[in-house]
Amino acid sequence: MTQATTKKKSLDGYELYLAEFSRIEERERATAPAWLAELRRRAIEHFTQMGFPTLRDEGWRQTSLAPLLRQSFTASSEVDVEGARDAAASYLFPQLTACVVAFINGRYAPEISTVGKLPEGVRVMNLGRALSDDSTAVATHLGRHAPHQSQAFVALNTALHQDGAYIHVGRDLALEEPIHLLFFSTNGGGAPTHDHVRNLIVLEENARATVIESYAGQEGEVYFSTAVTETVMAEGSHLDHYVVQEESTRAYHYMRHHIHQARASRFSTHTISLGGAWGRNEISPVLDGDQIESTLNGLYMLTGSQHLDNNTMFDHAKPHCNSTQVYKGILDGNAHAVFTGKIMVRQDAQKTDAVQSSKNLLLSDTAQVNAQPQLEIFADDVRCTHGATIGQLDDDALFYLRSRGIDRETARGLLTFAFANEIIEQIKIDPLREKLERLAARRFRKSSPTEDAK
Amino acid sequence: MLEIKNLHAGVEGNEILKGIDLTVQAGEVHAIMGPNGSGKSTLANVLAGRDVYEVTEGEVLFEGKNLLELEPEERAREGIFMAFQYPVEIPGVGNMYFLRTAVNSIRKHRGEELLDAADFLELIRERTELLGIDQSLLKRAVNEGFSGGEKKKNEIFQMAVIDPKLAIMDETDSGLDIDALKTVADGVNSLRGPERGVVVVTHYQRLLNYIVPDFVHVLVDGRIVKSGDKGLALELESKGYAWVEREPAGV
Repeated sequence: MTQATTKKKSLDGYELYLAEFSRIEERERATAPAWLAELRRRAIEHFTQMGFPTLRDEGWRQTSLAPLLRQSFTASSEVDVEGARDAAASYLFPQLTACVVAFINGRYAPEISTVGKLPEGVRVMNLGRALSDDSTAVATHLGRHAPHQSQAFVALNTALHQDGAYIHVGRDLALEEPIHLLFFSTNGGGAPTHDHVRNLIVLEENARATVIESYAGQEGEVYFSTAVTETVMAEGSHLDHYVVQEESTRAYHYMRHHIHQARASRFSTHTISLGGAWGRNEISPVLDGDQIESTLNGLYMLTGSQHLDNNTMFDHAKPHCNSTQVYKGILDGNAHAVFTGKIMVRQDAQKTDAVQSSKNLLLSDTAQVNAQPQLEIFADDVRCTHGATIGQLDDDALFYLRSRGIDRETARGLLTFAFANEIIEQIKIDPLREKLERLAARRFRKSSPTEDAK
Repeated sequence: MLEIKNLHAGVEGNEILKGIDLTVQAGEVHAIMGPNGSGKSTLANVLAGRDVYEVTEGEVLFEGKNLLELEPEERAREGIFMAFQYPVEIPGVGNMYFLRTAVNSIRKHRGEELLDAADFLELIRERTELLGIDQSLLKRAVNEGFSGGEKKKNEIFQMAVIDPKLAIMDETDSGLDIDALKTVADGVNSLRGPERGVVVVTHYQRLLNYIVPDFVHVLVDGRIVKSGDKGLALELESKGYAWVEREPAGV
């Protein structure tokens, strides 16, 4: 919608994506269903028509794609991933009983996946297999929710996705074990590569599930990965969802999660971002029924010259729904974060209750944050609140801690950790929360208040 | 233990303390009284090391060491504790973790063995019983959502756990009802001893009914204008500060 299709774009630098498209088309000619080939073909057309967004495009004014466009990428399918399995597996949680579906460079990695026995009516597998095992459901939903017609990265992902996860939980079923999806990228130490994964999560009426998505990569390597997840939630379903991004500090990463919520469904997601040189996260729940609850929380901890752009959009289409959103950022060095949180309340969505807050802590003089709440309200009986803060550590709190004998560095670490912990402590999965506590404590100086928090 | 000599200090070129002389020996309780704006809180904060105050002249010795050269954490480790007039709320930092970090920082400095979680819990249990503090406060973040009285009690509790040599109470009575005032005073009294010095900064005499001082000093416009025993506090109560403001300086 926001990218005019009339503008002319040079396709210089797009050859690598077009070549990859041709390779996929060739490879799938005999195997893929006709609708998928058609979907890919339409998507690559949209992509070439739109081109990547520029700083002139609404929603992209603070995020330049220049570094991404300067870089050339080769197909990640050429990389031998055998040696990367251990590195990838290090992002799993050994203490967690979970259903694991892992991917390396966008391809299913059965060696480090453990799906186990699932209840009747629950399917967890890679999308490639779902195309044959559950073709009707996949054909019904894939590409129907995330907007490949209007968003270039979604179009690119729709055209080029190699594989991804497929989760389907049947009516009235509750999956106790969390499902852990791991996506690991590596260029094998060679030239920079690109990979694209596509996930589909379908919850039938009153179904319940917990999903963790981990995105990680070989540290120090340059690669470009995109991930698009479409989640479809039927009436009364619940999804607890987590995203942990630990990309290589030289990686480019784009993620979009599109959630379609029906009446009385409950969705919550926590997006924790630590890695990546350049990142963009787009999360957009559509609240298409009454009595829906939807929560988007995020925490980003950036250093060096990392750039991360969080772009969220709540679409309140129907009355009596609640949405809440808390995004917190901690920035050091020359890091740059962008937060754009849009809340759209359509005319029909009376009694909407939407709360948004964006809080940022700057630890250096050169870190930068652009926070922008956007409210578009067409209903007249609603409550929408938003607030954005950007600040430094509280001097009074710092002095208070020091006056009790705690040295300056430890005190700073404690306060920084405490800021992050408001989000981390909400994570219900113990090994995940503990891991994030460790990562946050390590990143912001040696204070780990985890050991005797009891 | 504490010797303040001709101390001048202020904020951004505004002189607030204009030559303070005060000596506190171990075992003594000194009350510093004065009208609003006389510099009482400034004196307490300068001793604790808050860096918004600039010391322009004079010296402060604590057990013979030059206190003004030390960072706030170093002063705490040497044995100085200030109970804040306005304790800060620190969301996300648990009271217990905070206190253990503090206690162990100080123990480490003194070359004492660090307390593990079990030893620390034992110490906490002992101190909460001594002071009649509700343990549930300790499970929360530092001062977060505490009432005014709870915050002040928490200050006294921290003091009891940290076990300082010199305790400075900065208007600990402000905003307290009479019951909370008694609890706080009982706490301070239970910590009085021959090894410890206490400086009580207060606007009102009423706290001194409960914490009976050995010496009372009246601070007016950045100078101690009158010193005496506890009787001076009572006299102030009946005559008001205007009485000493008119008196010539001196003991």
